[in-house]
Amino acid sequence: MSVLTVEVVTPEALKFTGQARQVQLPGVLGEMGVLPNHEPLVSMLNPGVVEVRSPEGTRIFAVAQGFATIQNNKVVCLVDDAVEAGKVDTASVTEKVARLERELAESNDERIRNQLAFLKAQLSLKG
Amino acid sequence: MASERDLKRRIKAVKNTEQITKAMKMVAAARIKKAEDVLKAARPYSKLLKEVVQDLTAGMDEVVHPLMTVRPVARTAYLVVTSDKGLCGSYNNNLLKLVWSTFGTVPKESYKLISVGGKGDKFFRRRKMEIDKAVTGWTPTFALAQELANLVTDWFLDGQVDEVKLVYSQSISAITQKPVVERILPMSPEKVDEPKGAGGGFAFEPSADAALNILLPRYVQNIIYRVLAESRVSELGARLKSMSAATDNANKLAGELTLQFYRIRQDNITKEILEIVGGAEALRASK
Repeated sequence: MSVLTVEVVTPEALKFTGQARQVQLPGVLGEMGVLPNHEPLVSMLNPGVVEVRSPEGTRIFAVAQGFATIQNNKVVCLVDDAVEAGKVDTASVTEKVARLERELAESNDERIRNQLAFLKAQLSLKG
Repeated sequence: MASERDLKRRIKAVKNTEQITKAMKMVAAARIKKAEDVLKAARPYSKLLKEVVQDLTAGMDEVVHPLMTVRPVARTAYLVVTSDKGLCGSYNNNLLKLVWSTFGTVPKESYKLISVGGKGDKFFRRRKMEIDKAVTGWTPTFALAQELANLVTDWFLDGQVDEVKLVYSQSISAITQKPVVERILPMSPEKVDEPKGAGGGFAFEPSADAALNILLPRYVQNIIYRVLAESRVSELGARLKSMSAATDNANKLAGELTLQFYRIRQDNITKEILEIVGGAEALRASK
C-alpha cells in the first residue's frame, strides 16, 4: 500500500519530514483529509492545525497561513510558521493573543487576524 | 628617535590591539557558520515556492496581478540593508557609496527610504535624508522580512511608490562581497520554457487567482528574507577578512617595533660599555 511523504516547510527551516497514511489539512475551503493517490492539487491553507497520521503515531502542528501542494503521494505544506504540539510556549502566546486582540479591535487588519488565528491554533493544541 | 620606554609602551599597545582583532576574527568565523546555516535552511522553502509559482503562471496565458503591474516610475522605494556594527572593512562604505550614487542627490519626492542597520541610519541622518522606516539592531528573521515586505507591498499597491528596489551586499564567496541594486516590485513573472516535471497538472483550490494572491506576497517576503540572511553572511565575511588583515598587520608591526627596541637597547648598552672603558682608560692614563 502506498504511503504519503509529508513535509512541513517554513521559510526559516524544514520543520518536519516523514511518512504518513493520512494528512489532515486546514484548507481554505474547509478541513480536508488527504489519503495516498490523491490527485495533484495546490490548496491554500488557513492558519490552523495539520495532523500527520502514521502507524507510528500522529504528529500535530499548528501552522500559520500558507499553502500545500499534493503530487505523486507527496504532501508539502509551505507555511509562514509552524509549531509542533508540545513545543508551544503557552505563556508568551497567551500574552501575544491578548495584545493582538486589542490591535484587531482597532484596525480590523487581515494580517493581524491571520496571526491571531495562528496563535489560537497553538493554544488549541494544549487541550 | 623614540626612547626605549616609548617603544616598550607602543609594543604593548599594538599587542593589545592584536588580541582584540584576533578575538573579533574568531567570533566572526564562528558566526558566519551560523549565518550560512540560516541561509541554507531557507532554501527548501524558496525552491518549492518558486516551483509552484512557475507551475501556476505556466498554466496561464497572461499573468495579471496587481503586484506585477508596470507603471511609469515617479517614485521608487529603496530598502537599504547595512550592518549595525562597524569594524568590517569597507562593507558599509562600498554599499553606501552605491546608495549615494543611485539616489543620494535626487529630490525626496522621487524616493522612499527604508533603512535596515545602524550604519545606514547614521549615514542618512548625517546627510539629512529623510528615512521613512528605520530598523536597527536587527537579526535576519522571517518575521522582520515579513514586516518589511508587507510595508513595501502596501506602498506599491496604494500607488505611493511605482517600484521597489533592494540595496544590499551580495555574498560572492566567504571573503568577497558586492553591493547590488535589485528590483523586486513590480514582479516580473519568471517565464519557464517548459513546465517542470509533472507540473502544470495541478488543480488550484480555491482558484488560481486566489492562489496568486497568497503566493506572490510570500514570494516578495521570501526574497527579502533571503536578502537579509545574505547581508548578514556578507557582513561577517567582510569582518572576518578585515579583522584577519588587522591581526596580521598588528603582528608585523609588533615584530618591527620589537626589532627596533632591541636595536636601541643594544645601542645604549654599547654606548655605556664604551663610556666605562673610556673612563677606565682615562683613569689609568692619569695614574
